[in-house]
Amino acid sequence: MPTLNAALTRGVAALLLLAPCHPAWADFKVFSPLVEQGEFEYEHNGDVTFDRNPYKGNEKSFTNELAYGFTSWWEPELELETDHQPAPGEHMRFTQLTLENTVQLTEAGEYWANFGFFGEYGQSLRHDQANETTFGPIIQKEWGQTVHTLNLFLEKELGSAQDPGAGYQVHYAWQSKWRLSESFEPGFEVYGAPGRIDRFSGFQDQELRAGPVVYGLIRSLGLGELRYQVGYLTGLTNGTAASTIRWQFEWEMRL
Amino acid sequence: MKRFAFAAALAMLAAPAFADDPLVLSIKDHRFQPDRLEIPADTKVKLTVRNLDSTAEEFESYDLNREKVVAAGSEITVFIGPLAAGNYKFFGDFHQDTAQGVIVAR
Repeated sequence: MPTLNAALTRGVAALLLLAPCHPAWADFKVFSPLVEQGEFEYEHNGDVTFDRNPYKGNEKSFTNELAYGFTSWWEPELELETDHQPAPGEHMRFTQLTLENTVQLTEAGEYWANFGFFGEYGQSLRHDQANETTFGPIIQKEWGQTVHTLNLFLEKELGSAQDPGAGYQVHYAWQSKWRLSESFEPGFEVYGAPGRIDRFSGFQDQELRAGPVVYGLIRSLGLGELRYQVGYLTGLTNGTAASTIRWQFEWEMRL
Repeated sequence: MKRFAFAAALAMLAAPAFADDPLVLSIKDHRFQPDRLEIPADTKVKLTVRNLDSTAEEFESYDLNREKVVAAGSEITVFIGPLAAGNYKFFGDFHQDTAQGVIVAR
């Protein structure tokens, strides 16, 4: 059982893992604060935007990740991201190699909420694109048969290609789901990017999308288990594409 | 970040209230002993799961929203509830054919 000291020690370890450290907001995903020791995962995330404006629609992002729970409190993931930017003439490119770290700070159910910390470093695979780091707390509250999770992250560009005016960008994500059955859990998610931490953009210029998502686990696969997530997110500001379809497939097995 | 650490520390300092006696569940020969536990409803419970086998097991329960590996010859702590009165199934994910049990909250 983690004591307060142990939890704070993990917090410091999480900060150290950041070292030099943008969530892959390209891959819409709400991170859980809980880690499963000994579990190996292959994960595929994807999203596509739709909008009449060619500079907001047809943006695509696909990530493929390998993750392993080395301890009961630390799970790193290695991710390769491919993007298609929302502009005429763009094509799919490998854009970033990312190391993500989830650090579980408290035992599930021990306190009024479950706490974790997320930190990642993204190495750009394009000369004209900055490296990135993203970090921040993960807070999860269980309430009856529902689970509510908040990711509150800061993203900073790094390297010679960084935009000096970008500063620390705030990103948040919210997920609420109803644990109806293991194979089908309805819920909804919200993703927001209000801008620099010291100077939020006007509301209509912010990125903000929300919508229904379904989650589930399929066990009868023989080797391992498959978790799925599929959602439809509606853009709520002028700065956001009218709609986004997102999906995630996660194949889990024990090593 | 300091603010978060401070807020997290405050949250963790808030002493959680648990049922008086920690409950113990053992795993032997890939079976839970006992395979039925009664706990008080509407009360948070601290459950110790001891794995007496020479292979790892995973305490898992969709009903309880818990999933945690217990290494061979070791023990883990699982926090449960507060639960409404009812039956909550759990199982050992690595030996589901034998490792089955139920927690009864009343």
